[in-house]
Amino acid sequence: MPVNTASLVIGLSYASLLFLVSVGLSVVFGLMRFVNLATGSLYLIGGYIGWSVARSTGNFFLALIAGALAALVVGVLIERGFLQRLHRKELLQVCLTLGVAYIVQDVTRWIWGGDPLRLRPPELLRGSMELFGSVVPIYRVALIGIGALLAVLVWYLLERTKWGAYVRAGVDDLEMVQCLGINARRVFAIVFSLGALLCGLGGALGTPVTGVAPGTDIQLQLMALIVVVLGGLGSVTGAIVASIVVALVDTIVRTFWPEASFFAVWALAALVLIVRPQGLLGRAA
Amino acid sequence: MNAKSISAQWRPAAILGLLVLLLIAPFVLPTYPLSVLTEILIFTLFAMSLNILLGYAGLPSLGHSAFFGTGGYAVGLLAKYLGTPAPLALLIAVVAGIALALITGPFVLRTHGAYFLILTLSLTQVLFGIVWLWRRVTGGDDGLPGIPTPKLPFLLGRVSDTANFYYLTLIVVGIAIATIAWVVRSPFGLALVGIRENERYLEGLGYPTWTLKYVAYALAGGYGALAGGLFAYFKGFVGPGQISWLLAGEGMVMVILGGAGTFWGPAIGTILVLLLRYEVSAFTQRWVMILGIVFILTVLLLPQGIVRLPNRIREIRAQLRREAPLPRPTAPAHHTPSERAVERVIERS
Amino acid sequence: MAVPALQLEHVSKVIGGLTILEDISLTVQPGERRAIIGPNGAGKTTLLNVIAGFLPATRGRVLVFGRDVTKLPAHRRVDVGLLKTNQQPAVFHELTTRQNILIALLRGRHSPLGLGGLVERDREIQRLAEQVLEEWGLLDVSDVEVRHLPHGYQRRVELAARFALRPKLLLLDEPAAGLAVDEIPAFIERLKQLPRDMTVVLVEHSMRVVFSFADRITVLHHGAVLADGTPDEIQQNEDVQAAYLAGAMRGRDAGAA
Repeated sequence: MPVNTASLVIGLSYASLLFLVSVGLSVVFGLMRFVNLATGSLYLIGGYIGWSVARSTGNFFLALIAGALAALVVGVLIERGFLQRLHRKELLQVCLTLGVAYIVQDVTRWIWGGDPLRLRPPELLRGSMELFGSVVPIYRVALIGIGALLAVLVWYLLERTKWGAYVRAGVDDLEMVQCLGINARRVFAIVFSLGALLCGLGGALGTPVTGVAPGTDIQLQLMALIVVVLGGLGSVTGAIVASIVVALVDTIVRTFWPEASFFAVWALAALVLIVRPQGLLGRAA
Repeated sequence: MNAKSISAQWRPAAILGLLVLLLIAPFVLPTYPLSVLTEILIFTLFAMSLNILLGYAGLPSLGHSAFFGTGGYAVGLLAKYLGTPAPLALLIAVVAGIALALITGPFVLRTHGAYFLILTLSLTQVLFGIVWLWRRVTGGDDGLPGIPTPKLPFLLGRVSDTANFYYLTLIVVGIAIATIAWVVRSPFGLALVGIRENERYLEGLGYPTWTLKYVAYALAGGYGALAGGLFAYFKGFVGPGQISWLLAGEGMVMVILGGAGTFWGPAIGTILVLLLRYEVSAFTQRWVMILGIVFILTVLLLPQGIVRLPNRIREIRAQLRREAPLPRPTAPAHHTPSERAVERVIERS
Repeated sequence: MAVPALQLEHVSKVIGGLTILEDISLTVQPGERRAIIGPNGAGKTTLLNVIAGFLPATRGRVLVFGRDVTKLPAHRRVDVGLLKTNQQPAVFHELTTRQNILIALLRGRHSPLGLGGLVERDREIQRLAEQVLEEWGLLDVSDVEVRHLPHGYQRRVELAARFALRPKLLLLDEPAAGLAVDEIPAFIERLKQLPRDMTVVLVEHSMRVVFSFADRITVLHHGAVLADGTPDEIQQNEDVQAAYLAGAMRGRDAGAA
């Protein structure tokens, strides 16, 4: 088996990115049954803005903030402008978010062109290091650390705070929460915005790894959907677990059958859904 | 006499007029617009087949391209390996589409709403993967080129090849659309609308809702595969792009743009999307953006589709005149939270 | 002794570890009007859903006219003449009144392959629908989408659709809910005109409706049968009074009485 430390690091760093992209989607999905097909676009925006800011200022940290904020702005626009009126209308949600995805793809292609752009990691994190006898890129290791940190943070926010309890209650039963006098709309808006923020951050963080190009949005969008259904809608723990599973399966299959990796992940998703329609850790729907 | 019966009165005349226009089109149109029209016919069938699921039964499928591609590959493989004549190949394509639906149906129909959407998408991606990777048979990402265009024998030599295939498409699509019309206006079609409205209520009236959905899924699969088979002949080629979920998404948009659950809506939506793609792309590179803007505007302004535009205008005008022809519905019956919770547990189980 | 219209034998229902119904047994004779009452959360609606087949019983058996229907799905129970109304009228909101009636009348004619001719050309069905609409005073609104109708009309559409299927055992889940107080007497009259050979099981909060209509009353409390008897017996029963009746009667009907 070609599973060594190096491929584990590559897989887990990819898992970090997947988690950032999918956790917002998952919670929003669980909360409002909202299908957001513009998630990948938010990643794209984060990536492109991050790239430009890093280019002009030379400051990677600033790039991360800019990327995250840009995605947040677009996310808030989507949420404010459209989403509230589309509650439980899956078809219209798909149509609308697909429209947003089209526009974002075209605008970014207009501004940044069609060639893949890659960002160099900040000086501190360039080069490689030795880990358990393998040589691995430092930036990948750092990504794992950041991803783990943010996962813990999100998990804590949702599982251990009062505000998180509202969200989880909303995932279980939205009307019930409204009966309790909690402003479900505001909770949803906050969750959606935070999700967008994480997406954009993921995009900026991922630029040194995945690069950013027209099509990155679709790729990430599909991966995020898989993570969400695998993990179970609305489950943070599920999103964490599924991100890791998906990224590792992808990485492992890639090492001995590169072409098949993408589909292996889909086959996994289809299989899980057939056996457990509610996902690995989701509750019965 | 109300508006509905007036339009019903004119319907035969309108359909006849449309048919005449479509019949004389090859004598009026140059080659290129005629091939666009051929494509519109094929995608109209695709969108109408999807509309059986989205619009009538209320099943939000994001995987309808699986059937389109299945039909295409059936035609492509038969042409490549067996040289099967077109009528038989198209028939086999339909059977293949129905078979795929019958196999996947029991799995996808366990889910509802957004879950249904994602499961249909997943299965389509798996099919895409199989086709992509099974290079020896399917040609992988190169697809299967060189599918010979079938021709109507009685028109050979009398019209151009483009016109010949156009007429063939017109006949096949025309017959298919007529049968779809028959299906959706039959008791079965009305029952599907009942499923869309409230599956449980329909079951309470003694309808086997699961079976109805299964049949609808199979029918949609068959028609979708027929469209895919025609498209493979049209292009002379079939490739993984014809299974791609992007195509499924585009089909969904065609249906919604035109008006989900209306008979002619998908046709209007198809015309709009394809014209945008071909015509707008001729004078601006930004047609993707324009398409996106059209999607969003539709959702915001005409969530029920372009076909319902006259109704919408009438509604707005009625509102402006402050007409209230009927009393407002009274507030729904009082429910305690616990009763509602139980009701919802029931809904879910 | 005639075969009972409805028999429940030790029916229990557990949802998510929560026992909603516990060991319920009851027998309803043909033609009987049975009311099921109880405080909120007693499990009345759940009980009707178990009888109608929307919820499977966790334990126990359900027999309708002597036939064991415990394992039958809801749509098959309609075959034995069992129909149910909903708290919110079970009507199709975006269909017209006529289409709602047609759907009921067309049950069984949809023949899974969709082959059954065109609805609008089926003269026989259209005539029947016209008849039903007239009978229920719905002709005026026959081409109005049901969502535009007031609650009382929606209820009428719901009942008309169910009667089109000739129920032998009718389950009514809070049919008077949502009616204005001054609509209730007329509603009671309507209930009393139901054909005598039809068995009716009624869940209702309005004690006026219950006591002027029911032959027998079953009282549910915390998912179990607390009492069972004629309206007089129930009114005398001290357990019932303590648990429910007094409070409910004071609370609900004081204004209307």
